[in-house]
Amino acid sequence: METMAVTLLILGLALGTYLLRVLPLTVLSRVTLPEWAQDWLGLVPGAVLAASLAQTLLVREEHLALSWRNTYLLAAIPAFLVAWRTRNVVLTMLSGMAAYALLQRVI
Amino acid sequence: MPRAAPWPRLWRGFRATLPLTLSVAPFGLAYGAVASQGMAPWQAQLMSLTVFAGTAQFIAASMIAQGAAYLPVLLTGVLINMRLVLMSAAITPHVKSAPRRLYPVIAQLLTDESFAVSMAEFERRPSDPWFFIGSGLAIFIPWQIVTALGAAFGASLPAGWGLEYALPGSLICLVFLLVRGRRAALISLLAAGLSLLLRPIVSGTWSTMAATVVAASLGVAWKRWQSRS
Repeated sequence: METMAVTLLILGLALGTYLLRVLPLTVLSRVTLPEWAQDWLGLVPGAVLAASLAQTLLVREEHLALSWRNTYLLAAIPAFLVAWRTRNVVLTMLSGMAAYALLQRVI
Repeated sequence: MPRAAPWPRLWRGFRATLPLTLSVAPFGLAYGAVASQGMAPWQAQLMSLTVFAGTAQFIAASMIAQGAAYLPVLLTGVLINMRLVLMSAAITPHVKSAPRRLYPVIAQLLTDESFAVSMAEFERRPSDPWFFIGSGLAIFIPWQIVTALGAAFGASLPAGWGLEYALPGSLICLVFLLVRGRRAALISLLAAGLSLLLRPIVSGTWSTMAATVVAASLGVAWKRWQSRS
């Protein structure tokens, strides 16, 4: 992507994110969202993260890679265990990185 | 509302958030490193200053590095940040005593970390916008520094350290932190499965978004149907 396009993309993302942050603060202090809308908003972040994680771990070079040679997928196993046990982002990140670095040397 | 001068209250919020600063720092380094693969260092910094939302920045930066189309990057980033709407709504009663001219500052400083620290504080002590601003700054300032370091030195880190795995590694934990309860877990799994199934039909990131919208809507419908029967 060329420089100008990337800059515009960054500013677009910044504007979108700012609106998400500021609108409830200025508007929702008076109005309450219907319950289903709150429920929907509550489900979106986890769902979008899980979906992008699935794409990252399971899709290699545009193809579904369900194999023991997929080091991305294998390194996720210790990371999942650490995340489940500790809920610590740094420890999870480091365990995933260590497992990945190790697996790349072995496989 | 406490009547003491703003600075000590701001400082208290700042100090209370420092443990989380430690967990954010390596994430920011990794972001800077990934960002430097697809954009200039000043652009990586611009994103940290203006977007200031780690996960969205990380994903946007890695998508840009992979040469993704603009619109999916923008929409994915905004979708990931949707949770800010809920956090902003939840924090509003605790910070609305601030002067209105500070609302933009308060909004921009909202992150998962400051939200968590401040909500915990306001459950035990009186609500205080200055505490929240201090907490926000304890993430904002270090985030700018580690971004600069990551963008400057990230590319020179030797391969084989598993740095490519910093994003998926962090995502795995963030999913655990964000997904609370059995229904949310099932909906997230459904979104993950759907995004893989949809790949042959809708390409790349669009499958992620389509799967998210479908799964979250099904989750809402399911809850309504359950509460009716």
